[in-house]
Amino acid sequence: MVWCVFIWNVAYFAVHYFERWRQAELDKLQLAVIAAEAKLNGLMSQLNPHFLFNCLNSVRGLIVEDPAKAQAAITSLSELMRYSMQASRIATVPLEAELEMVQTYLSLEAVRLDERLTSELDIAEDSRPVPIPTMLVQLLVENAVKHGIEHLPAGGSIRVSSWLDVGTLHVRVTNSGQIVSRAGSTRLGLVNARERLRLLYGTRASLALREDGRSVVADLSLPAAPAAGASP
Amino acid sequence: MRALIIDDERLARSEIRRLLEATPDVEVIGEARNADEALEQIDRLRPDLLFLDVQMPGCDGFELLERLDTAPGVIFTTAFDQYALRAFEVSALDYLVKPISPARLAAAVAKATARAPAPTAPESIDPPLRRGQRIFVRDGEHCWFVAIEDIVLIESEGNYARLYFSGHRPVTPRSLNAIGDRLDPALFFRANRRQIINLERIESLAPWPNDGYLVKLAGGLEVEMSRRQARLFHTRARL
Repeated sequence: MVWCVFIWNVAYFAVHYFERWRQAELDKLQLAVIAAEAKLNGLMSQLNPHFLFNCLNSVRGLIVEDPAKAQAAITSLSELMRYSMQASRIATVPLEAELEMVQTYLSLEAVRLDERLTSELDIAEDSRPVPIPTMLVQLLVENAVKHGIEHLPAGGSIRVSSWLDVGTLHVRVTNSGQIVSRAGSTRLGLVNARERLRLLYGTRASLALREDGRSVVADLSLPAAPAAGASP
Repeated sequence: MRALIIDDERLARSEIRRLLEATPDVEVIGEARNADEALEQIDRLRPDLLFLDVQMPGCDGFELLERLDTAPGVIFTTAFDQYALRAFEVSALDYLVKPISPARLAAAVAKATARAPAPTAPESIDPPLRRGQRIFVRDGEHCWFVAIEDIVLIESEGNYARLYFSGHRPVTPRSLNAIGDRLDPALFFRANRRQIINLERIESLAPWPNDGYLVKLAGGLEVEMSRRQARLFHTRARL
C-alpha cells in the first residue's frame, strides 16, 4: 500500500516538475522572441529615429559654432548607440550602468532642446548595483521627452529617482506634461516592457503610468534579487 | 525669394540659415520659434517662402498654414515623423529631412522659385488674392496648396467652409465670410448666403423658381442662385 502512495507521489512530482521546466523553457523562448522582434524592428527602434536624426542635425550645427561640444556630442551618441545595440543581447544590467546611459541621453537632448529641458537624478546608493532589464528606464525617459517635454512650448523637467524598499527596487520617472494617448510604437514599447518584466519576474514586477497634476509619473518596481527560477 | 525659417530648435534654424546663405536667389528675412512668432512675421514681412518644421510643440506646421489666408511657397522640414512623411508623400508636398542635404535643398528651392506667382508692386493692406496665390487645405493625410482660381465653389459649413476643387471637397477652418473678404470680385461671386462660386467655372445657367438660377459648375456641381443675387449678377454681367 505504501508503495502505491510512494509511486503516486513520485509520478505526481515528476509531472509537476516537468510542467515547471516546460514553462521555464517557454518563457525563455518568449523572451528570445521579444528580443528578436526588437532586433527585427531595427536596432535603431531602441534608439528612436526621431531622436537620432534630430541629434545628428544639432551636432552638425555645433561643428562650426562650438567644435568641442560637437565632438563631445558625437562621443556621447556613439556610446548610446553601442549600449542600445548590446541591449538586445544582455537581459539585465546594474541600475548604475543604465542611469549612466540615461544621463548621456539627457545631455544629448539638452543640446537640441537647450533651456527647454532640465533634469535631475535622485538615486539611493544601495539601489545602484541592483540588476534591471536593459533599456527599460531609458525607454521611460525617452517617452518623457518625446511625449512630455517636446510638446511643451516652454519645455519642462524630468526627474529620475530610485530607492530600495524591503527587497523591492523602485524607479520613478516624472516629467512635466500629460499622458498622450498615441497608438503605435510607444504603446508597443510599453507593452514590450511589461512583457519582459513578466517573463523575468512574474507578477512581482510592475510598470504603471499615471498623471499627477501637471506631471506624468512612471513607476517601475521589481524584486531587488534576481528572480528565482528565471533564466540567468 | 525671401525666406522665413520656422523651427523651435535654435541649432536647426542655424543649420538651415547656413545652407541658405550658400544658396543663390534666396534671402533669409527672419526666423520664428513658434506659430505665434511665425504668424506675426509672415504678416509683417510677407515672405515668399517658408521653411516649416512640422513638429513644433503646441502647433504642427499644418495647423499654422491653415491659419494663413494665403500660403506662400512652403518647404516642410522634419527629422522623422511617420505621419508627416505619409502626408507629404500622399499630397506630393515638398519636404526635406534633417540633417538637410545641400543638394536636395537646392532642388527644393529651384522648384519653389519656378512655382512662385509673379511679384507685383508693394501691396496695400490685405489686397484680394491674385491668380496663382494659393491657400493651404488639409483633409486627414491629404494636403493641398490650391491656386485660388482653381477653386470652383466655396460653401459654408457651420463656422468653417468647404472648398470644391479638382474633385476634392475638404473642409477648412476658415469662415465663408473670412474667405469671401479676400476673394477677387472679378473672379468670385456669392450665389446665395451659403455659397460662393467661381465665375470662370460656370458651365450653364438655367432659370429657377423665384427668379433665381440653377447654376451648373465644372465637376457636376450645382448651386442655386438666389433672386437677389441673380439680379446683382445681371447688373454685373452687363458692365
